[in-house]
Amino acid sequence: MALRNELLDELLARRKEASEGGGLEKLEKRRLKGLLNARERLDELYDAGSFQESGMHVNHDTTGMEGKHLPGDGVVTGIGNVGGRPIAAFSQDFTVSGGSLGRMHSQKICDMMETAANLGIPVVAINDSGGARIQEGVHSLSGYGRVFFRNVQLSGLVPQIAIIAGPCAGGAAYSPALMDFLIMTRKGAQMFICGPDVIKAATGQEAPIELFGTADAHASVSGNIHFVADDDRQALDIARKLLSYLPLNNMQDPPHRIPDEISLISDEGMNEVVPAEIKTPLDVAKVIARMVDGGEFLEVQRDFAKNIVVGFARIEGMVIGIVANQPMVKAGTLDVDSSDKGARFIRFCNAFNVPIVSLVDIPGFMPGLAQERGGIIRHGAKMLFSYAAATVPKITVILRKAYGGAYLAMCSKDMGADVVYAWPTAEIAVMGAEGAVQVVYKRELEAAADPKARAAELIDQYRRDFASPYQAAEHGMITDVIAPSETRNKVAMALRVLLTKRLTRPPKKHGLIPL
Amino acid sequence: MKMLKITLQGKMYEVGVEVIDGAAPVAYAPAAPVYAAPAPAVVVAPPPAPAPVAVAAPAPAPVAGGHAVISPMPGLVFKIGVIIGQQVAQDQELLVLEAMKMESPVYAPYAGTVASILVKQGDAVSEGQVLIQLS
Repeated sequence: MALRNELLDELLARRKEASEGGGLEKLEKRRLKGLLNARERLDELYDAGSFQESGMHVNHDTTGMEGKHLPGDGVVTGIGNVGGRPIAAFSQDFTVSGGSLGRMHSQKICDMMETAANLGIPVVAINDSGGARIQEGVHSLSGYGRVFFRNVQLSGLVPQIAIIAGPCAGGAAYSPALMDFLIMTRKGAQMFICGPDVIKAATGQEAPIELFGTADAHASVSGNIHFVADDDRQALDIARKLLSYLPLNNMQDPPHRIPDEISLISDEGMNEVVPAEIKTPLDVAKVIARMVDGGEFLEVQRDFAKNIVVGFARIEGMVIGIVANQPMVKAGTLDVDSSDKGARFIRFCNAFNVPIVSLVDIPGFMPGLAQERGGIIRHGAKMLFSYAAATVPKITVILRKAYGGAYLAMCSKDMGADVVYAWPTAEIAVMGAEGAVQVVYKRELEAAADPKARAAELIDQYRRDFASPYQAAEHGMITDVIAPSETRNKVAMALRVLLTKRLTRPPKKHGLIPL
Repeated sequence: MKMLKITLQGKMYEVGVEVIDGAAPVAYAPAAPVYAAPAPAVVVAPPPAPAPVAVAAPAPAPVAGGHAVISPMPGLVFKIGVIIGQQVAQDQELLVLEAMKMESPVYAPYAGTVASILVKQGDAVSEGQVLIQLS
């Protein structure tokens, strides 16, 4: 007996309804605003035809809304391929009851996250929701809690990427906040705990959304997000690009593309990047661009704490995380924000087996009342903690200044660097020559006929004796002194032998990073 | 009543000051802070092949009376590269600070005209201090 046609018809009708979300009219409205809908976003994320949906026929179970049908309960979940590798995702559908999070909605998300944990594959969360479904009361609240709990269980197990593509307010903001990378669109996206109206009502403060809740504000002021995108398409493109550097889970290596032979071409142009005058800042972006394959560098948190530069790249096909001081901004000092930014990135790299290359040109921690009062001791300690705790390959290149505690906080040999290279321009010292001379030769300077001239002589002498790479080299604190032109080659060679690095430490629940 | 703008730890306050004949100014009422507009964030990822991406960030809303260019860190004014009335482009170098034995260039956050220069060469400046007003 053949299959009755009406059964297939019903299936097709149900599929059609689900795929239309909140209805064609609402979808069309979004299109006119230049926004992709929930399903289009997944199509954009995934390789064509690879999406396998789960839970298409889920409906809400809200008491008092029995007659109403909410397709998929406002969220599309499933697994598809990105660059040929499986990635789990959910995409909230704002056209279905404002993308509000009800019990079934949160259950779909939780199921998907558990699947991702079991399979060991990353999660991409596309957020576009008005918030809790008030009609469901504590069920909705509990739903958020269950999602947060799973965010934490997945943390460090599989990469988690959040895209903020619409409203994300109140408690809802904490699911992305618990994930590894946040990408936010300029178009239509807002994120905050308390919005302008609540702030005004509670404190009387005028708080225009542009100052705290938009992608630009989060990228440059609060540092809550990692990437800004103009629109949905670009946000999803960033997610794909980011995934191309990451392993699927913490038990895998990142997707190195190791060639049989590595090419060792001397880069004379790198010598030109170093300014002749020591007070003139070096632009570390130029160093990075010359070092990495094809000049391709996916910079993370580009607009926040710009005195440190972090991001992903490849060298001779090997995926690396770069942590670099940027002397063009705040003299490249470590301050509260740059320490937080650096430490978080180092910990991500360590969790997912990404070797770390540190480029050092740092005169010290940033001086100032605001920094001391802001807790630079506690925040700067995060850099030391993260580097020392990291067991991935660690390569440090000292370009110019490496002074005092900040030298240690940029992964010196003492902090567990496997390989430390120094350019001939490196100055490794407990403090800058000018300051050191004032301390060491205080008496002699006071007695000198011309203290200024004598100070200048002593500074020169100090710099020759102490602030060069050779004193540190003589004491075995660095692996080798290399010409800038050799940097890419030396780092590539070192990486190749470090990929087999195995370092195990006694088991413990977790270290206690000073948060 | 005179209105003054005062920057404290990077936040700008509009303050009303009443001058009573011969006496020192007495009244000051800190109003809600007028925040300096955030620097326009730039798109981070490399552009996707087909889509045009070089869309400029929306210009931040101008603060009344022009844009304050603020010192990013404590230091000395090493040199000033612009004069009052000069037109400057976005990201043009305005002045150079010296801090931590390094020269630290300060760039124009927006295109505009230099309305006032509030520091001179050799001045010690603190973090958040207004260096230059652009209009």
